[in-house]
Amino acid sequence: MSYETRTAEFKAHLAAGGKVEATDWMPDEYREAALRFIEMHANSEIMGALPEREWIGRAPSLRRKLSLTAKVQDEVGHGHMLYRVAEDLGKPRDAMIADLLAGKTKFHNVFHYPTYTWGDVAVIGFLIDGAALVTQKALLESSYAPYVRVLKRICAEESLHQRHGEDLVLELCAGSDEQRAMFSEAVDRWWEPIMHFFGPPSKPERDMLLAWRLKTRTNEQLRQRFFDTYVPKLWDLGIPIPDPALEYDEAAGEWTWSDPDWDGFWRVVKGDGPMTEARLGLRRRTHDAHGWVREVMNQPARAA
Amino acid sequence: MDPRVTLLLALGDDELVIGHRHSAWTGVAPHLEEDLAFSSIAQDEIGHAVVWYGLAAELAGEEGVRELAPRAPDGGDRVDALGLGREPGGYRNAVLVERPNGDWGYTVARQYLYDVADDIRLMTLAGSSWQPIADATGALRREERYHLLHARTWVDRLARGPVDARAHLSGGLAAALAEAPGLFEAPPGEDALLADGVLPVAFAEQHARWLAVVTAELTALGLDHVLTDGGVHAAGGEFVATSSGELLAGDEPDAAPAAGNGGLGGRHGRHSADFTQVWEELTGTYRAYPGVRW
Amino acid sequence: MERWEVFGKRTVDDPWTSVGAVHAPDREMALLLAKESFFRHGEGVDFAVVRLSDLHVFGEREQLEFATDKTYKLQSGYTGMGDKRRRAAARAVEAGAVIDRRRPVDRRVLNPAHRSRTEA
Repeated sequence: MSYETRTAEFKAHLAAGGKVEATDWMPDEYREAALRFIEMHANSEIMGALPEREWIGRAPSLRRKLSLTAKVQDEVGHGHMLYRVAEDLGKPRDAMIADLLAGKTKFHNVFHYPTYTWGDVAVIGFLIDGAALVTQKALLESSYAPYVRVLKRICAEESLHQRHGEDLVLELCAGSDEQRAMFSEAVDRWWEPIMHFFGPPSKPERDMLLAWRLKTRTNEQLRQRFFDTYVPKLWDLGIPIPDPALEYDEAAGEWTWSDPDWDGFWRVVKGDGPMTEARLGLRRRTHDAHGWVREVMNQPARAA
Repeated sequence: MDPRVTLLLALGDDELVIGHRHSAWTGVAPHLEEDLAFSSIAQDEIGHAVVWYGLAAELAGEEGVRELAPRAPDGGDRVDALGLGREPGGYRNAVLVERPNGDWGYTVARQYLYDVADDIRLMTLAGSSWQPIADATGALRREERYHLLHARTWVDRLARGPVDARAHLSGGLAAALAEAPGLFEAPPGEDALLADGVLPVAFAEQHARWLAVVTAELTALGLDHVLTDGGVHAAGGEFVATSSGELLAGDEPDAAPAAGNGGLGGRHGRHSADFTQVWEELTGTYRAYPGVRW
Repeated sequence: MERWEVFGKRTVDDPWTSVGAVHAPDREMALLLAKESFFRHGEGVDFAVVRLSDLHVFGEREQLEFATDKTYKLQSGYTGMGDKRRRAAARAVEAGAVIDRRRPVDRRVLNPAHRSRTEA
């Protein structure tokens, strides 16, 4: 059977809602797209651990110190599981980490920003994780079955994080004026990165990830889902959102919103965010200082 | 102050400060699976601190907690008041646990020496005449089993690893051993604790037991030289300070312990400059917004 | 003769689940025999075999249970969310921070300041 025929059959299989296993035959284009997508997801989990990690040491109570550590640990755990899924598509984990550190592969734009207060921790835990949960739940429909299996566990943990994040937010919003301001200012800081999170409205017909059914929802569908859930919650708490156009249009059945600075988005995508170098640098330093540990992990123990 | 409170604070502060240091590896540990394992150990240790502070707060009562943590808000959480609301000189952790993480060799070495010490301490306290402290050791020791397994597996693997790994481990062990005696420094009021059986075995004796265990285990791995490097006489199994070993005079909270004094001073609230950094990070947010809920 | 543990998948979306074991001298024979031992009624879409001696069991149940308070890792560690939402919403009213903008009608409103409009 020719490559074209097999590819056509593969596409028909996907169109009928069929799933793909790591051991199945797949077109090279599908394998590459899946690998790149899942590798970036894994990168984003371990890089996404870093902004919140900055507050483990500074958490305001022992209970929050514990819950934040456990939450960041879960994110690293997600990276761990996702790298395994990506690895089965043909790229060793060491190579993926090396490419991330060398800036050859990307991590999500939202993790390139600094954290200033405990309010940032609340925003990340509630809104960034909320955006991630909306996205990841939609990915449960993905055609790549090993990814879906891991996403099921990730989504279960993310809904715990969601609750953890909302708990942080509610405590701040029920607190002193200073605490409310702390959260509100953090929402101001993070709103644009959150709009960037969903990406610019895209042309579905040009999106290869949609074509291969690696994802099934467009950027705009996900953004609207996010608005549905989180905007009313913020408004209920009396927390303004820095977008004067943001409002639900009953007639159109969707939210109106204003374009953020898309040039800024593309700068960050290219790896030029405010904290890109600092966060990669931290990871690079610990990585470079511990080649000897990797050497230990790559060979069985010898006799003493 | 009730000497039991002082003892509980020493225990809790060791756990909190080492848990704080361990937790900084979360997200950047040198191996992905290890990141998860070590983070759990950090969480366990902070959880143990909460247990000890809970007992201390109960025993000290509202007045006692206010005396220990005068800047903590009235009516706030008393465990947080003890954990995050004291002045630097009020913390009684050993100097060893406040040291920066250094590299993975030092981290593993310190975790090993600390958890063997904690195990001996918990075994001792299991026989305490004061029931609440004896009862608390059960749950803590169950979690310590994993910590010991973790420490021993890593020490063993690094010791058997390539020459580079062995060198990193040896360096870490020598540095940590030099300050490990501070873990067994007697807290104020030890005599009274011994007299009524709250503390069944003196810290000096626990120190000897600990040294016997680590000497045997390190010798089995061909690492006996680190004992000498760390200021320990392998033959006699006793610690010999390389300087006069005298404790610092005065009560300046942040005065550094003299180099080579075995990492002593912590139980009396005398810490190294590294503790200032720990304290500022650990308690900064709590102190900046007194009396609010988080 | 060696024992081989058999893991099956009921559907492609399922993770590997232990379904039983077969005695067989080698991998090929184990695969051959496992198929009709466990999947002859159409019980799944794939299976795998692992030599029993290659399975290393942790075996310490106690170590997998929580000894100290770990509720911060569980949903149950975050309770009373409804009350917390109401308290925070009431605080917004008190702070004069109520936000009155158009939202979908089916979005449950906690803030009493909005109630009249959505119920209208």
